[in-house]
Amino acid sequence: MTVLPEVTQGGDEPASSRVILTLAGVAALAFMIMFSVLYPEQQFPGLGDILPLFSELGGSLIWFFILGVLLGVGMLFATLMGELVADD
Amino acid sequence: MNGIALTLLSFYGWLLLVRFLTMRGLGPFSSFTRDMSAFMLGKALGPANELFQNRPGSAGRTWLLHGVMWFIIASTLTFTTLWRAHEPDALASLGSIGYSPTDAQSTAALHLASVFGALSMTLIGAGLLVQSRLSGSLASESNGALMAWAWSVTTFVGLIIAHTSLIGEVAWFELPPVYYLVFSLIALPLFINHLLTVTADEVPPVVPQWFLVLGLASLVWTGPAGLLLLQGENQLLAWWMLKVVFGCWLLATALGIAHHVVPAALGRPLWSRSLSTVALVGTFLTVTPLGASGGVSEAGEFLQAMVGIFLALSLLPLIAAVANLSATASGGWQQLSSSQGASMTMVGVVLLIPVALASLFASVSAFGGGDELSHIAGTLDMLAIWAALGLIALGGAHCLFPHASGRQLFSQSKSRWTFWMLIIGVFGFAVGQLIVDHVDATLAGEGVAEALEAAEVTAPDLAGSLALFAAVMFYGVVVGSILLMQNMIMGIFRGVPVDEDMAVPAGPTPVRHTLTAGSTSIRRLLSSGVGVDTEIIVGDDEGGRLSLADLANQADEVDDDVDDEVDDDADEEVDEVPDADEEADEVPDTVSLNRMRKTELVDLASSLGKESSGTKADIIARLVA
Repeated sequence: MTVLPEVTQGGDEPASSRVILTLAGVAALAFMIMFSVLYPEQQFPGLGDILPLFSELGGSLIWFFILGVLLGVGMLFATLMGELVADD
Repeated sequence: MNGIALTLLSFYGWLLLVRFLTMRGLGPFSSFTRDMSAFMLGKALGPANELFQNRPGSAGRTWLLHGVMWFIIASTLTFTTLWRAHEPDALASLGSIGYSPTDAQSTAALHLASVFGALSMTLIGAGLLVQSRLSGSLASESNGALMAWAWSVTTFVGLIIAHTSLIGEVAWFELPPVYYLVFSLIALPLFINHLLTVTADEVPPVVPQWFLVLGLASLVWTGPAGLLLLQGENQLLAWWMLKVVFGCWLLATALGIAHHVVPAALGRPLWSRSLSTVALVGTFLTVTPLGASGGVSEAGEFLQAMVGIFLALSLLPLIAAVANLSATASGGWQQLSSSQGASMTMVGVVLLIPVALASLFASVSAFGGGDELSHIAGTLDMLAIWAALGLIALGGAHCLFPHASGRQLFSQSKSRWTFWMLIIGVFGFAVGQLIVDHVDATLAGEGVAEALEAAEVTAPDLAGSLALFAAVMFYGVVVGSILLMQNMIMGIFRGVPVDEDMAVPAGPTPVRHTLTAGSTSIRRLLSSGVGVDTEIIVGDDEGGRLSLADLANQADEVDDDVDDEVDDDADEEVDEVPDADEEADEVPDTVSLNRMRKTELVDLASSLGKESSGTKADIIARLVA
């Protein structure tokens, strides 16, 4: 009988795993939409409601999207800097 | 009426002049003008020109990087504007740092960033790369790169002006008219760059080159013409300028790029020469329906009828272009789907038809009519920019950027994600926003509010929810732009090096191709759509035709003659053949020659005993002759 070590982590990346990830993302989005349908009186919490640091931004959901853009632009900048200073 | 006649006359006179200059030059002054223009593009700029390397592709690369950066900015501005239509106070907190634009200011900013920042810069960059691939090399790469920075800074300054009280009410030209003159001044060196590149080539320009040259000429015209707006409100002129920018500049350049990218990516020539000619001529001779939000409140019956006819006729070149490119792509769907850039371009090309058709009805009713479709005109313009023209521009960037950077884009997976994000983004936005427009227009109709009140019914906030849906879907365009930018940046450093022979159209084609006297290369012929079965017609003095079959026969005849003479001149043959081989080894191909510095070319020409004076193009022509 083969004895497996206590921690086993496969190195493979099956194509179907991406499908599951995508489905999970869509499901999460659907549940978020359902939240506002089931509880129309309750606003979906904005960035300022979750993180006190951003409380001055107000409760609009647009800040989640703007945060995504800022992260994307920051990632671009970091990529550029990283490639410029890379040794190879 | 006299004003618009003068405007039309100046526009078409300018285009005819450009066509004449491109084909004939300035006679005995051509050489002087060319040298002078080349000097003005290069050494006359002094140290500024030394900031950028004159390497092949550097101009196109700079324009494309700036263009995609503006795509991110413009799509973000569009997204926030769409969101604020549903939730006006969403960004109210930014008022504490002084950012609280009015609706008009937001619209002016996104119009500027999307048309002059994102679309124009990406299309110019792709256009420069198409031109350099078809002609061997650009007249001045360093000047092209310098102009990209000048254009970007001008757009940024415009973005700041758009948030002040200096904006006006002319649709899509909200900034002061003098501002647009700056774009024309920057476009002028680019236009000269294109013109020098085309005229340096002995072979007549092909359809994509004409689209690019005439498109840029149209953009150059808009700046001085816009100054007429300083005289006061002139709806007709503003409407015509909008049509020139959307049709003769953005659409023409996009079609020029599509006519190169699709055949190049698929490795097959354009399906029909006549359809591409109709697309070219028709684009400039008709009035495009794109730019549907521009209108004229009052117009005479004759003018209204003429505009209606020319708007309807504009579908002809569009259908010709779409049919030609679709037929070119048919049978090669597998190759098309493997190239995300070409797929993006084809989707953009196909979307031109529905967007133009809907815009046609909106444009006709906006010109002196009842403007019954004004509620969807803004959305149609957005679709023209982001769905049709935007996809062609980004597809062109996808396909052509590797040639500029010398390396492939970093990740195929990111390319796929970019493609799907953009497609889902624009389609979701289109569905959501068009429903919102129709619902809003219906609820705002005459007597509807009173009827609802009488029936004690409150209309559900369906439009509000769908506006939010449209904005969220449009966020896909923002994400797609960021992914493309990251793919391009990483590709520059870590992408797989590009093969020299990639993206050259080849394959069977029934068309004939006419050559004028002078030299050309097989690459150049293949790029212009020539295949192995093409009949090559050489414009010789006797007016005779020469096909590839004839060339083969001539080669056979020459071989026979050589065989006959072998016995007599065997010793001479032995001496001559090694010399010929030696010379063939010493002269590199045209692509390599174009990459050499002029001093190296002069040395090479001198070592081979050939004339070494004149421009770089002249020396290369002598070397390959």
